[in-house]
Amino acid sequence: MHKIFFIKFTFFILLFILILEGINYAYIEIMLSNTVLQRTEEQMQEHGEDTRILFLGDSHPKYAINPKYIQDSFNYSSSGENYFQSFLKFKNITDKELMDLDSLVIPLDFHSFSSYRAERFLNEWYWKDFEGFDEWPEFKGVKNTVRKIAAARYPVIDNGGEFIKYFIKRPELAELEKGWQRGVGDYSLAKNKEVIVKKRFDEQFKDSNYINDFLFEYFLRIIDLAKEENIKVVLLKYPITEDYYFKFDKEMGSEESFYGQFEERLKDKDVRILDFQKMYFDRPHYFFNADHLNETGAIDFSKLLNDELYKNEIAYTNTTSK
Amino acid sequence: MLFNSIHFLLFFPVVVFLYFIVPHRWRWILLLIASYYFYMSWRPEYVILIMLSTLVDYFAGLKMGEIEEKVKRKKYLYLSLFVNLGLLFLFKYYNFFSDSTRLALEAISINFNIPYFKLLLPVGISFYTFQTLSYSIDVYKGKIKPERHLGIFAVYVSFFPQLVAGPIERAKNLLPQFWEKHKFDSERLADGLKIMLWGFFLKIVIADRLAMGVNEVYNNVLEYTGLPLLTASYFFAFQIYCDFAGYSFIAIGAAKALGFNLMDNFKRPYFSKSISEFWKRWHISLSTWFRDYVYIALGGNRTTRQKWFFNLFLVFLVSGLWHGAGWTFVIWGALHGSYLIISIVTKRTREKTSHIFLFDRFPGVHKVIKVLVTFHLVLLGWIFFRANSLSDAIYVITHMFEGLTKQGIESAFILSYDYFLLSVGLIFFMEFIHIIQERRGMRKFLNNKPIVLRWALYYAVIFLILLFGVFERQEFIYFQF
Repeated sequence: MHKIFFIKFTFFILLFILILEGINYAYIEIMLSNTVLQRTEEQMQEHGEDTRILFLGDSHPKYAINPKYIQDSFNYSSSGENYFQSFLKFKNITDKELMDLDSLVIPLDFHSFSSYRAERFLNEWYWKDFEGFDEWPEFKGVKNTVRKIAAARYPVIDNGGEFIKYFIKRPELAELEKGWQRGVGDYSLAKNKEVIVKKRFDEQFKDSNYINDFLFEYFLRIIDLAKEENIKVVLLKYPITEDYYFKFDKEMGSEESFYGQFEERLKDKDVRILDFQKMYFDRPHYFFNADHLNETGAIDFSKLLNDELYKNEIAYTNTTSK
Repeated sequence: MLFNSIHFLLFFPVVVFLYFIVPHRWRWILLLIASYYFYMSWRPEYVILIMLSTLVDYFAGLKMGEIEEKVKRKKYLYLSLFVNLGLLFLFKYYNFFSDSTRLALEAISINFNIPYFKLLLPVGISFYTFQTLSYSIDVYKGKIKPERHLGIFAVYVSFFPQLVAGPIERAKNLLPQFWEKHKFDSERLADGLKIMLWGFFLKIVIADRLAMGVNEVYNNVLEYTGLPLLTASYFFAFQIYCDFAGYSFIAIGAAKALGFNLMDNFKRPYFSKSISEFWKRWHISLSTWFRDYVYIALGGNRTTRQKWFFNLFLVFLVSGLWHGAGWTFVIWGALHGSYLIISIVTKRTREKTSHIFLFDRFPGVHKVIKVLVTFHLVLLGWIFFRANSLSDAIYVITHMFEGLTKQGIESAFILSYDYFLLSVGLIFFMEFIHIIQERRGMRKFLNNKPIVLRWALYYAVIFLILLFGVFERQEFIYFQF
């Protein structure tokens, strides 16, 4: 009796694994190959050799930097990317000598160091291939190791809805140009700006830890690695709307006091800070939400940034703000 | 430890495996270690409270067992009540009562500073306290004999499948099962796993998905009017069912896999035709606990009509307070108490009305109407239960029909059209299974089907969990009680 049960049970498990592998394989082949992450990766392989200026970071650069207007550049950023993840990418590039870089541009925005960004780690299937992935503290311990393996190895888990939707109605792929993603929409037309800003702010600053130690450590490690590789580092404050800026100002104190907290620690680093935060306060139609540039804004900003970068020859000994 | 965690997925098979290879006389040790480990993986220091309850009730039980006269046993019953209810009061209700007293005094211009304790509510304290209290009361009444084996008694108090969210077991049912020698039974193990699977489906796929929309609306109620408030309120009715029934099914299934039979806790409550029937189908282990140890102790219905109504109302008021230290829960309890009293008072009028409307000629239609009316009365109660404050609850009720004609249908979808469609689809799937269960019994239904069909259904549920589950460690709602 027990023998039959164990045979049936084993067969049940084996069949389960087989079905799971099949569905997972289909998901990877059909869905993941079309993701912005994967397509950016493919474009990076194509343009990597010609890249001298590399943009890393989150959705701010992803939507704001159109490399078409910035000579010899590539936008390798990804939505939600934190400094730890940027470090993994940058280290991978330098270790494997994928690019001959002159400059690295990373964001220095209000939310760049917030704990929320340290705790939010999506798309494990993509990041698992980067060396050093295991150093993320959220994945320490048995429970999270199992979770990591499950999420990285079986990305279809938790994503059935998206997979089914794909077959019902094929989504239009987001347009990508050397890693730049086109942002669609006009913030100036939004009726409920206050709600949009509040939601965005609440999401980014869930707790009061605005400067997460772990993220700060990796921020410094990026700068140190760049120095080792003789690559200039530019810290860029991306344009945001006036509403979002003053929401931050109201809730968390002044911009000066926020950046003042770590300016001291950056004193000895060879970095250049470019500040464009308030640049488009008078042009809300350049944004598609409270803090992301749309296509029009991105083109204008990219042209302007190109002039700025080349005009100043990115003098990396100067640490003062623009 | 949460049932819906990878930790539990590793823990449970190890416990089951060890349980059946360990000799019977040592099994209580294994279960005790497993149960304490299960509890301590949340917050180790709070296991001391369980140990204290265990020791006090073990001692009180033994002492009461030695005394023939019921009157003389009373002091040990009081000891058990004092310690258990004292801990419950301290950890769960002290701050609520001190806040309410302070506000009441302030209202009459008396400023009195009552100390505030920053204590974290121990998970499951309401459940294991009631379970261990039922033991003391039953021993006092002479319904059961005291348990002399401290280890077995400790396992009874802390048995991990039902430790933190029930079902609240009775000593008469559960204690003897720890003495039984459970042989490995593959059929029972398979049955247990199937029940657990259904519980996981309810929790991970339905409850946690509905929670996303419900939380969005109920945590920002002032930003919504009309359809989103309606949708979120309906969703919450199913969320709380799937959350709590899901936990109960996992608990019952886990216990069954080990050879234990726990009591049923939910019997498709939204098919109830009246509020009194609802309470025979919803959280059965708690409602029967209140019936046996509070309602009957107060005199039940064998008293004057006024006293009977008072007893009913009081029991539901206390039940509301059991669910949470807040006025929203008190109102929820009072509402259910009122429903029952009104249903008794209006019984004849309702019978006459249904005769006038010819409902007695169409029993099917009459049944559907009764089910719908009961469901919506329960739904009204859930609004108070879920709202973050009384003012939020009143806002939801007063604004849920506002501007319905002006709002586009898309406002009902809350998060997105896909989210709404999938959520509603899953609720219908669950109710379809419930209808089968109500009419024929799922087990009977499945046993008549060929193995290919049965396995296909199991795989379907497993893959629904894996592909459509929400895996962001959502705690069970009833953990807070």
